[in-house]
Amino acid sequence: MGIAEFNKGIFRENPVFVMALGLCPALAVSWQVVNALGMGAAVLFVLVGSNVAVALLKDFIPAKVQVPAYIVIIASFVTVVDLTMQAFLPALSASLGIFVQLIAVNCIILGRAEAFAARSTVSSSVLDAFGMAMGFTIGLTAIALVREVLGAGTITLFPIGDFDGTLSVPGLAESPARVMLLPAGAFLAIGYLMAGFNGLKAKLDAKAARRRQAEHDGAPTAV
Amino acid sequence: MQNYVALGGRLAIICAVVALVLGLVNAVTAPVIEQNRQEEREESLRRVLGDREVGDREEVPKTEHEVVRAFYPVGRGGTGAGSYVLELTGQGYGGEMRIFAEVRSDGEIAGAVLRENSETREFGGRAENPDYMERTFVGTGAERAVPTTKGALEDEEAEAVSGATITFRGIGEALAAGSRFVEERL
Repeated sequence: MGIAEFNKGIFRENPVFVMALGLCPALAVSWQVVNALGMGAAVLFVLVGSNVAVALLKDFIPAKVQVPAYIVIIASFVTVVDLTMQAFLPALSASLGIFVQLIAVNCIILGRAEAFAARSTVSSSVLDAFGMAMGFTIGLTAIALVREVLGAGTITLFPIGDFDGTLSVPGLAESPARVMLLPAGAFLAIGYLMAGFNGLKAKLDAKAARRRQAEHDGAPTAV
Repeated sequence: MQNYVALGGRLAIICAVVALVLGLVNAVTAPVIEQNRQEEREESLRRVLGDREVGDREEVPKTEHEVVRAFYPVGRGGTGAGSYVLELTGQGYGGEMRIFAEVRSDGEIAGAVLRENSETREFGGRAENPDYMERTFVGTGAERAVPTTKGALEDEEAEAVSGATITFRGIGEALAAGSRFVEERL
């Protein structure tokens, strides 16, 4: 346990780019940065809530009815998020649409409940949930940044005070590559980002392996 | 046997707790959500009608009509003005769209707005522009049919909807159904 539980979700086991989980909402809502952030926050809440509940109840839930019990728990957290968003953030709720409700069947969440929380303590489940949700949010935001900047020439965030929430990228705003906003653009963006992410990861892994090798080679002479 | 009772019992306990929590959340959020919807409706009505008033909202059950969700008779007390505001649903590119339209009793579309929708902003999003409805649909429905295909449009209008054919068709079909609804039933 410890910081590694948190870290792994962000990079080494990034749900979007490495494990390719949760791609359905990642493709669908990532045409605007604010959607990505909103979706990330919703997933964070559901993931932390359900991971904690599953870790707490792991001895109470009989193995035979594990999946139905998890689904009930996850769906209830999703409903809480959905209702709260509809009530207090109606604009975000309208633009995320059905994808908030679909968090209930997002494989990241059931996956973490089954593969991690059901075998871990509450505190490491919380760290795991935070890491995975952060990794998901980072992935989604990266896709949304690429798609929105190239496809619309804007970056849409939350309106605060005088700021209306939308930054315009000069040059691109007048003649954007609109294909990036369409589903094809989602696949393009995610494909290139995934390739870049995995390339970086492979490079780092190779570096780590060389370092280990060097230590290993160095060891006998030191004896 | 006993095993099944224990399994079912535990699941029932989980469900009961969940139901209680969701009930509480719903009790807090339901009035706020209702109020949001109410405000949105009022704003849409203002955008279609300006200062004119409407009578009571009458809901149309989904089983009775696929497109028309509700209607309001225009005019104080809701009689004699000869037109209605309809709440319509249409199928768009990004899912369901909601449209408010004023329809005269002969079926003519007198005004329409598209509510916030999940259409791709750069294409279908254009339909949120008031000018769009004005140029494409207002004035149709009686002598001239509501356009639902690009072929029914003048060149310049067709240019305005290009790239958002699905949005255009969705709005056109919803408005056409609304026009028929008023002609036939009201």
